[in-house]
Amino acid sequence: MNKPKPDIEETFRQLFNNHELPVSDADWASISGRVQMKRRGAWLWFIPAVLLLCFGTWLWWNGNHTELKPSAQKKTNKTQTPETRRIQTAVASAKPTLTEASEAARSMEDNRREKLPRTTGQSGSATETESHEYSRSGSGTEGSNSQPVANESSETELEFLSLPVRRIQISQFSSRPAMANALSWRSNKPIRDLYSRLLKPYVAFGPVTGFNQSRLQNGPAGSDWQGKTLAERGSSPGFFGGVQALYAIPVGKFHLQSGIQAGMDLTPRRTNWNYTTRVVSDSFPYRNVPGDTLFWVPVRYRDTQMQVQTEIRMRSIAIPLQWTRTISLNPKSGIVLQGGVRLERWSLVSGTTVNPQNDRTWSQQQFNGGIYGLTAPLAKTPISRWQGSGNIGVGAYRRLNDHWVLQGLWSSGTQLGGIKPVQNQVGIRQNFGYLHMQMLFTW
Amino acid sequence: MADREKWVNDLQELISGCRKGDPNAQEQLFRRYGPRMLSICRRYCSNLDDARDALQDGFVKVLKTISKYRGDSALETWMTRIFINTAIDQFKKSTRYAGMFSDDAHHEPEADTYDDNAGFPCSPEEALEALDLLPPGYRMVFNLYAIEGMTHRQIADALQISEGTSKSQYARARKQLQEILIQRQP
Repeated sequence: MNKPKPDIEETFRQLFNNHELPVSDADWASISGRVQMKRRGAWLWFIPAVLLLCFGTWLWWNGNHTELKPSAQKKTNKTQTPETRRIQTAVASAKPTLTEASEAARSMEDNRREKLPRTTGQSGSATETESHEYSRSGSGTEGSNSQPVANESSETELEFLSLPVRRIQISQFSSRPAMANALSWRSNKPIRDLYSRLLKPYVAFGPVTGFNQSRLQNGPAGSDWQGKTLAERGSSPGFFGGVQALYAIPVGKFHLQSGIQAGMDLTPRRTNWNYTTRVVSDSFPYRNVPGDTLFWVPVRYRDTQMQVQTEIRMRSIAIPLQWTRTISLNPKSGIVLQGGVRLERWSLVSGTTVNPQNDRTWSQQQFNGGIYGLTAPLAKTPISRWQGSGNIGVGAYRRLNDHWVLQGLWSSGTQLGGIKPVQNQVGIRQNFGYLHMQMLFTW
Repeated sequence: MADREKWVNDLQELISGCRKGDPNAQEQLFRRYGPRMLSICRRYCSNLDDARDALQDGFVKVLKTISKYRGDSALETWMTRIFINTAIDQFKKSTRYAGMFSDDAHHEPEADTYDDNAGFPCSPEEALEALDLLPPGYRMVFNLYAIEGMTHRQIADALQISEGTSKSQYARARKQLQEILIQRQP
């Protein structure tokens, strides 16, 4: 005879129809913390994005208004005179001395002088001003009759010589760097982009600010550090600040950078630590009826539920190894693309108990006495781990002069390795976005 | 009747408060529905710690999206759906998810060898213990089909498995549960 068969569906539906399990205050503390952090942290992501956008716009605007625009170059090409074409042809034929180009430029100037009426008495200062305006705004068009011309002094002739040559070098810069270098030598105004200097290393240093979300991973069962953050999946956001110094060498079209970055959280993270399996040894006296202590009985408690909310900060030292590629938008500025890995050593540097809770109703005094508390072992036991992360970045640079470049770069990444906790330690899962404002120096 | 109206009004105020981000209203919502939702999470998770994690995830979602609640269904029903989806998401994220159903893709449901007999004495705790003994895939399909009342087609869509796999998983889960419960019969 078969055993009676349980009607599984009906049984389970009835059982769980109004079934409830008790929730704890710690559950609500966790949820509340996460909701508040989400609300508080959501808009902060826009700050670095806006900063980067402003910086990029500024670079683009300044770059386009101090040098000749590429669009103006197209116009210039359309209005080229035969003399200008001769100069370009001479340059393109890679004459090392540029003699032919100089001669063509002189003959062009002679033609212009013949066409224009002489205005004596005001030519000197006016020419200098116009020349400066042209150089700054880049709005002039070569070969136009409205273009003011130099007077007959030798200084002006030299300045004139630099003008058409300089225009050509800009127009040819992106496609023929070797020619651009030769031309910049001729005009005595080197405009080589710092990033295009082959075999020239540079150093970069500057502040790092950023935003990171982190989540401490559970420690192994039974360890002292079976911790768990309040905020799952990276909703424990905070500001990060630090400095970094990098050294870069060119490798092909890329620059390989490495150096050191150090920083720490500027905002503390509220973290919920949850001791679930910590074993605590203790002993108590066994007494007879009169109360004499006969012997001591050793016991081991298993702390099944103990939670504490703390505020912690993380400190980190990172060694980045990254590849950088720059794309010139104009002679003075451009965009930067970056990707790489970081080896990071981080540590928890402080722990302030905010809301200790203890389901076993141990007293506050006992808790803070350092026996079971979080703060004491946190202070005594440095929690440091080596971990790896990967990051990609995008930014913009602006050449300030021959040696200095200002660069802004937004870099985002995530943890790649070292996340798994080890004995008596916790792992960290971190997503980060850093804004690097750097000064690059080359020599 | 008056109590019912008061309860509904209270609920409306609660929802309104949560939409405004009032922490007190949010906590009341948690106190009112948390135990029920924890029970739901517990059915899908293999232990209470995981269930509490799912509860926290689910409540964060509820509080974040409560502004989208239109009142078409009861709040508890709406919340239950969110928690079930959260449990499904967690299940999918588990590292062993890919291999959970691979062996059962073409298996036919196995025949049931037991006699029908309605009613079976069992406490919720015992039922949870029995569920814990099931493989995760079995437990998920069983919960969705037997308790939530979803069809195999819906389960297949939700878990991204075939309908046949859902049926075979359910049949196996059912059989295994029966065996566990029968063994525990006094």
